[in-house]
Amino acid sequence: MALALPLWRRSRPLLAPAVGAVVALLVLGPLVFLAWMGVREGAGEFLLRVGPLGLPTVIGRTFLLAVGTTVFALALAVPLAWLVARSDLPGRRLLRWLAPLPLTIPPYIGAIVYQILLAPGGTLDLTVARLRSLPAHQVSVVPFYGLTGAGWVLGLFTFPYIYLLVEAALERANPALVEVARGAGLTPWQAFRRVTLPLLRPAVLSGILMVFLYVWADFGVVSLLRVRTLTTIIYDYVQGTLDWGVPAGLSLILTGITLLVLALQRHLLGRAGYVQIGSGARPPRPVPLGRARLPALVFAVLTLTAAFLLPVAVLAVQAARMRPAALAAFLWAQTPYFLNSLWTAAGGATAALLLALSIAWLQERRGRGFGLSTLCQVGYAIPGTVLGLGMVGFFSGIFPWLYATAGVVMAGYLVLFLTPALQAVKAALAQLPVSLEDAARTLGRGGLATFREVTFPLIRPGLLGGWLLAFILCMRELAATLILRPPGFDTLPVRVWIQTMDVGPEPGAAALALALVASIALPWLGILLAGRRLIAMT
Amino acid sequence: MTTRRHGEQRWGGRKGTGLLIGAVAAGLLLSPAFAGASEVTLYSARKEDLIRPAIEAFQKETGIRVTLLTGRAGELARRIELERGKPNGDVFLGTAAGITELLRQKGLLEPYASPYAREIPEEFRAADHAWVGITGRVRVLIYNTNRVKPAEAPESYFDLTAPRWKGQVAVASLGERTTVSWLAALMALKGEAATRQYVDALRANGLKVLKNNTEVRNAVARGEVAVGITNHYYYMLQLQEDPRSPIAIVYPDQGPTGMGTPVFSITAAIIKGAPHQTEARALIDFLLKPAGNRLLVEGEFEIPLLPRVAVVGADRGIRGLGQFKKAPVTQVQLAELEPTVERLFGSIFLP
Amino acid sequence: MSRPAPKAGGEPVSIIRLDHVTKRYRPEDLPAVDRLTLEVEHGEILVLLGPSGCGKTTTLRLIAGFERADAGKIEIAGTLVADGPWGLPPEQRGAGMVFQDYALFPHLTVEANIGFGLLGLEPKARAERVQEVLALVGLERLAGRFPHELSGGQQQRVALGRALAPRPAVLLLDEPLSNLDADMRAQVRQDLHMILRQTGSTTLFVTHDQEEAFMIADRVGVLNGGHLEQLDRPEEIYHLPATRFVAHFVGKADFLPGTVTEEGIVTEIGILPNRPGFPVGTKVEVMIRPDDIDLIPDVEGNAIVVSRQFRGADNLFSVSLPSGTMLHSNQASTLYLEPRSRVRVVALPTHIVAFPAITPWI
Repeated sequence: MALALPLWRRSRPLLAPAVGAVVALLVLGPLVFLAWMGVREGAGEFLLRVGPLGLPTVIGRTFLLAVGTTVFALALAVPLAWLVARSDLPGRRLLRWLAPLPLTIPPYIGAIVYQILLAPGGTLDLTVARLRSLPAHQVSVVPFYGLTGAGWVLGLFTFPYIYLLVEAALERANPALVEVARGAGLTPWQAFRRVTLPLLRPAVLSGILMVFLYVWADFGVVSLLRVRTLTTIIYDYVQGTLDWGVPAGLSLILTGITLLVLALQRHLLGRAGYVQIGSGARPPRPVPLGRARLPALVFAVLTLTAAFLLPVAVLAVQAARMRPAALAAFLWAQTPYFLNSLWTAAGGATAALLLALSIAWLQERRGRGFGLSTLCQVGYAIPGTVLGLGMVGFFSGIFPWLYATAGVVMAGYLVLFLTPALQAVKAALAQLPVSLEDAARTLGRGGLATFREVTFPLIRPGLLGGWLLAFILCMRELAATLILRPPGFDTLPVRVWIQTMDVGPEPGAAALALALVASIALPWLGILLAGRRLIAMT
Repeated sequence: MTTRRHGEQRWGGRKGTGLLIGAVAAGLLLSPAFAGASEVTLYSARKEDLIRPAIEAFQKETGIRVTLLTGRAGELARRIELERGKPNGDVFLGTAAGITELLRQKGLLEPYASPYAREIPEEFRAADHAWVGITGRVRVLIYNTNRVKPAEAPESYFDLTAPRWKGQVAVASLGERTTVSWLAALMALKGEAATRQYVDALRANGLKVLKNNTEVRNAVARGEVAVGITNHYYYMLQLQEDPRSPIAIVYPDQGPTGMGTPVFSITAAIIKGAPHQTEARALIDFLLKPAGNRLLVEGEFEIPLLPRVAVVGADRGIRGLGQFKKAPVTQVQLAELEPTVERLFGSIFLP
Repeated sequence: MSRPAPKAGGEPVSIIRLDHVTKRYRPEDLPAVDRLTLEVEHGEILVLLGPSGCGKTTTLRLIAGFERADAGKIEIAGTLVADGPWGLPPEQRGAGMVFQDYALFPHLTVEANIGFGLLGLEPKARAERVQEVLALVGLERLAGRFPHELSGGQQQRVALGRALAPRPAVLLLDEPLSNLDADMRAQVRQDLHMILRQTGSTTLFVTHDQEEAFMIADRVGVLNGGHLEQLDRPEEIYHLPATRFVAHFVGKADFLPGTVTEEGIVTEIGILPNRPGFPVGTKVEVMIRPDDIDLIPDVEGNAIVVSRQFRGADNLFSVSLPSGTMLHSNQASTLYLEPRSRVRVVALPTHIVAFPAITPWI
């Protein structure tokens, strides 16, 4: 029996440290750079300059905006989700398809649209002025600029995050519980409040925190709608001065705040960081709406119109102001930027997915590397402006060969969107019983062969979903790309931004915006279609 | 959305992955960093639309391909600073002398005495030829003619603190370099204390700080505010967009005791260690030649610094150098004061 | 069906050997498997029986290669596959396994599932072997179906076929019947037994169901807390349990106190032969199974009937002795004894199993 035994074969013992090193480098490098730049300028100077900025007011204002947006988004998302999942609203099947569509409109484009409509001198004001025969400049129907407008736009275009989570939770929840409550004599509203709502708590909480975090990190909307937040201050300093101390210091403060929000989210939700999709119980009996049917329908239609149909229509009308030939020529000229967007988004999404797969594998199958999730989430929490700034410095110093190329943009996307990709991959992997992989091994397949022949084919739909999600997020990214892009390399969102910032909303910008929305909506519809078909086949 | 797949092969699979990897690799290889020779990279703080005519003419004349990176001056200067030693850019086109001068002080510029620079007035050049002014911009007031009759129009910056103009004045934030330069000019001529008082008075009078000069001109044209403190060519741009815009222009502080209207110039400089030195010089030369300079003037409605180039928009009230009282500050003076301006007013002039 | 005879002219060859295998999940825990030593002989079906948490699944996974032992050796078909923490990976051990949840590949047909382990065979030989196995498990008609289209019993047969197809040296089964409905279980168990016998596989089968173990096993190993309490033929396990735990686990057992004298063990129901051979004077407890005693109605009997449980095929009576000790007895289903009536308890001891009495702590 004295044979030389091969070592107990651990799959890829180097995987964990390698992956960890990559993630740590990409996430912490920029932050360290910012900290270093900030320190170099001296903390004393920083306080001096930052004093008159009125930071507490700014932070308080942002907090107010975040709360207001969240409340508004909740008010839209929860009723809509309930109507689609639990009521007998006519057309709810169609509604289920359409409801997530507002996600395809980046909020800054939504801001542009509503600026056209509601800003002083915009469509609403002009219409009212004409109706009342007043000079245009005397009419200002809506105090659009400021917190109101920003809250409106942000809420309108982020509510789908909450909607998707709540709707999925409703579909999963056991309807028998509600039926028992109804049988015990509770009215539908009471049953909802005391039975359904508590069950929805994780989904609602998750959604709330997502929207809240989004507002803190947002740059495009608050900038356009003239709300002064930390991100806009940072951006202005970056754009207008050579000063490093203030932007770096503020960046670190902002990152700290978003990390706090993230920590709060994790504390409230526990380890279940992702939403698990499982086969549901039998579908519940729809709750009859009775007389509430018409108001409910109106609500649903208005929401969708405001959040999707109206913006698309406005953009189309604006774009149509150009003659078709000129429009076509203009769009054709923008093709290189469209391609830039396309391949950096594809590259970023692919890199994110591969890295996510490694991390998920380590966590789900080897029970290691949970610190990596936290690191990834730090990357997710860093606002795009801050990340861009940090990466520019970090990469130009450490990886100058990468800095000169579009690779640095992809690196930025990787850091920003690793977390959503990770969540999708983990969900897919968790659904796959370990026994399947064990079985493959007893039948003679090694680690890699098992992955190739058993694991990968079965998690492929989940991987595809994760890739598409990351792709969509990359396509619409603005803040980091603005700062990171190499000379001559603009993406579609950057072009829209430049057009709008320099010249105001005009046909070219609108056409571009429409093209951007289409390029996001089409893959989105693709997954929805494919997803439905997959579910129908099982 | 995740379900079990049974049997059927999806189109994704290996073919899709291979295609994707191929596309990404191709894209990386074809990205600008690997492009060929005879080109120049321009970091321009001037908006793309406005310098495009000049760029295209340059490309046509010299055959040198121009890679353009637009952004705000601060952002571009940061890149130049971070790229110290291994710059990716060749020429820096700034919107005011301040940042350019700062770059010169940090040793990031390459002096170049273009033969065509001799005709540029001295106050618009660096002494050691590190940078040169290309065209000029005048800090004017524009007002909405529906709300303000010509007789009532303000004649000086310092009029704007009057109650008449409460909440009716708009200016761009410090994100626009010309705002910084304007404040620097005030400081150079009136001193720090007076300028601070003035700014406080403006704020107390409800000064609206907007994101950029485009918003200022839009706000004035719409009647949202009555008066805008901005650069003269925005007046022309507004008229270009809508010839019937109810706006008019004022060259402030022209009176015998007035300080004069400040003039700034956009500046061009070669970045130290630029990879394409020859091409960079060619570009600077082109921008200073009357033929090339004219394109910038006409494209951007700026006023020429070269005597041989005609002023555009004279029929709408635009005056060239020498046709109005200019505030007696040099670009270098402005540049030196700009850091102080940032420090003092950085928190106020944010939108 | 009895086990095929061992190879002529030799001792039965042990195909699986465990030698003092120990595993702890965490250093501070009690061992999940404690110095386990056993051998499974060629063609034998050995069942590991025990309550949940006793370490039987861990043992299986140690043999298969999914867990690492802390100490001990494991051999499969004469090859050392593990020595303490060192060992071969699962794909190199030649152990086929049937999982509790069957673990069928949902994206492959029945045919493809069964053929999955047949690497290194040419397509023709592979197809032939798959057909052979399909016939063996009786699923020829369902070759092209997918796992989700099959019933539980059919899925189990596919899992078995898949594991058997590559002709592994050993077959490991992890509670393969526990996911089935009770009514299916008996039939599937029979089919399973038949297939195992037909192929003459050396099998290690793990279950918590004592009835299942007795029906299938050639030998049964009873595990408790990682420790092998007894390894024997089913009859011995039942009639001659080595420990109280085994006695309780494999059937109903009552314990009757008694004292050893020169004539035998003196108990409340009479004097029983001192077969175990305890020294005189020892206080013991005799194990009484329901089939070990008879109940005769007798007005002067010392036992009182307490309750009757009608079980269809028989009646289970519980009677109480004057000391308060409760005994149970199996009687014919037609016999009716009135509760609270008096009976005489007669012992029919073919085996006498007794354990030293546990002295209570004072």
